[in-house]
Amino acid sequence: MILKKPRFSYRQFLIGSGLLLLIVMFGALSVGRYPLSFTTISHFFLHPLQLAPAVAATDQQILLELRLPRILAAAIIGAALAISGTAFQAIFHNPLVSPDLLGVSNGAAAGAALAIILGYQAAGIQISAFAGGLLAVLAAVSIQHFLNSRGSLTLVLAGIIISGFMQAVIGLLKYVADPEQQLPSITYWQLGSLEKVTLSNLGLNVPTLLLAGIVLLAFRWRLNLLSLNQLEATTLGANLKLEQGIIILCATVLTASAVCLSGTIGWIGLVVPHAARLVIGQNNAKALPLAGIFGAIFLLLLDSLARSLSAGEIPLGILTGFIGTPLFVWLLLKKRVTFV
Amino acid sequence: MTQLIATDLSFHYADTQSLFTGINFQLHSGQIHCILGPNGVGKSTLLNCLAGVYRPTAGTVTLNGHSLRRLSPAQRSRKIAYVPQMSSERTPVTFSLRDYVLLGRAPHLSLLAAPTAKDRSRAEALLARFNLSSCAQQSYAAVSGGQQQLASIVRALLQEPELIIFDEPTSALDVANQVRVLKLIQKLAQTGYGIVLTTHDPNQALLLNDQVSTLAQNGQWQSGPAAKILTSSHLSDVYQLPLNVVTLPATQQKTCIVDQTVFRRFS
Repeated sequence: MILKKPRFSYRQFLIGSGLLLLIVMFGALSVGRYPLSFTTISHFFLHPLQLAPAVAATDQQILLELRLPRILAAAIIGAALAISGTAFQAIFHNPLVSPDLLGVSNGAAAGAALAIILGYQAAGIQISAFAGGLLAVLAAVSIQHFLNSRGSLTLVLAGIIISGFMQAVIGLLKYVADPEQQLPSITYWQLGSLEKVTLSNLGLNVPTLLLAGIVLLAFRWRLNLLSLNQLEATTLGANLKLEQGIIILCATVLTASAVCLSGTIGWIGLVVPHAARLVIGQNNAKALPLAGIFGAIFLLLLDSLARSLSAGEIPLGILTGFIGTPLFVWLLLKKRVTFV
Repeated sequence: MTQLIATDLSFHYADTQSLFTGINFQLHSGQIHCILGPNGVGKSTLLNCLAGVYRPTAGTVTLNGHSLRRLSPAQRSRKIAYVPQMSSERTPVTFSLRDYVLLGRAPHLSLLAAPTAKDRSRAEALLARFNLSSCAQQSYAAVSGGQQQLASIVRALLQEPELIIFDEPTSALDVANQVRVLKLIQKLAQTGYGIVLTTHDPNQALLLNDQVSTLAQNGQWQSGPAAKILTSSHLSDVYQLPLNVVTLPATQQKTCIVDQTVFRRFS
């Protein structure tokens, strides 16, 4: 396995990807059932204080209330899922691990389904989803504790158990849900969508997302140390319990907050870290930030497709599945070709 | 002078019989201490206790008079480096050799810090000293066993420790690389590092010719200078196999051999 010397430096990759993200964000603002020209969007951003007199009121309203929150949410959620996936894969020494590993996604989905059945509104559903996600992780960690095992594999198995249990809970809630109102709502939420994102619910989740994201970014070099086995990491000075705990907590908060905003969106946390590592190598210090940018771009592109492919909006979970599967196979093939 | 002292050390895993009991061990700067013994007697477990990774069931391990358990992992790893055994059970290391050796700076960095330019130049100097610069960009998993072992030693040296623990440092190497690594270990001891290593080969302990301890299947522990411990009768007891320590007439060098007659009779 010879690592090819990259054609571009890490800094160039990072700047290039950052610029690409801005371009995709700009492009995504114009795409949708009601297309907006780039001139209109440029006017809107160049004259923000005058609330863009050159921009029609309807366009302003679409941009401010629909597109901008949605584009920001897509970028933030994509980045959050990719960053937490990269962190989980590093500390569990397992490239097949994804953010919903510890039952976070299914826990959050169960929380949201319960809130829908109890008749809560958007904010209540979000809080319930967040609580469900955290409860799932707490249960997985407790199982590991009761089994008196410190191994990461036990935690992964505990996550699978809790995930299965939460799926059963969701199934039960769907069974008792009102088929006219509640069941479609639960199903749609399970498939993931950014349709209901507003600036206010984005504002509710952004502080936790930012805080957890910044902590994980700050830990990015340390992830290399934690990706070694327990003996090596400890003899190199790692306080495993503390450091793994911080990373699991932050990655869980990122995932749960993302799920609160958009419902469950699979594949991003699994596929995007592989894409980042393919481009920049296995060093987590470099792969983590790049995965964040790639995740943002990936979800923005998918959401733009979801909004424009058909008259009705396609749930994101369906698109990520259809695009993520062949992409993952391609990445695995590419890795083999490049690295062996 | 740095001193690592283990007193009355005992260890057993949960629900199992004692692996070893009442071990007394001393290591100081400039000394090489070889630990010999058959498979499964607990040599690696003992090293883990000496490195402060495992908590012994009984007994104490002190570093310069301070209990190892009272030191944080970072404090311990600034004093004691650990070179792991190269085995297939080890978690695969997928990043480059350069990134791998840089992890040796971790004990000197705060939780959120990454290696500085000074750390990097230190690593580059050591990579050059050990002829690893040309493969530093390659994946750790892709280089030869000898280069992997050298990289692990470079990583240990970057920790700037006073003592280095080697767990079977030559187990995955060919004869030439075994000799290279043993010579390197001797040189490190001559420059002041205290070294403890485990090995399956009594000849390596004879070559290094310093302190030797044996851990037998019955948990019996014996320590002393190589000349005193590495005798035919004692090694035969430890390995439960007739072994001969003979002196080669040409060089007066001692070597441990298995007699052909024993080999023929062996079932």
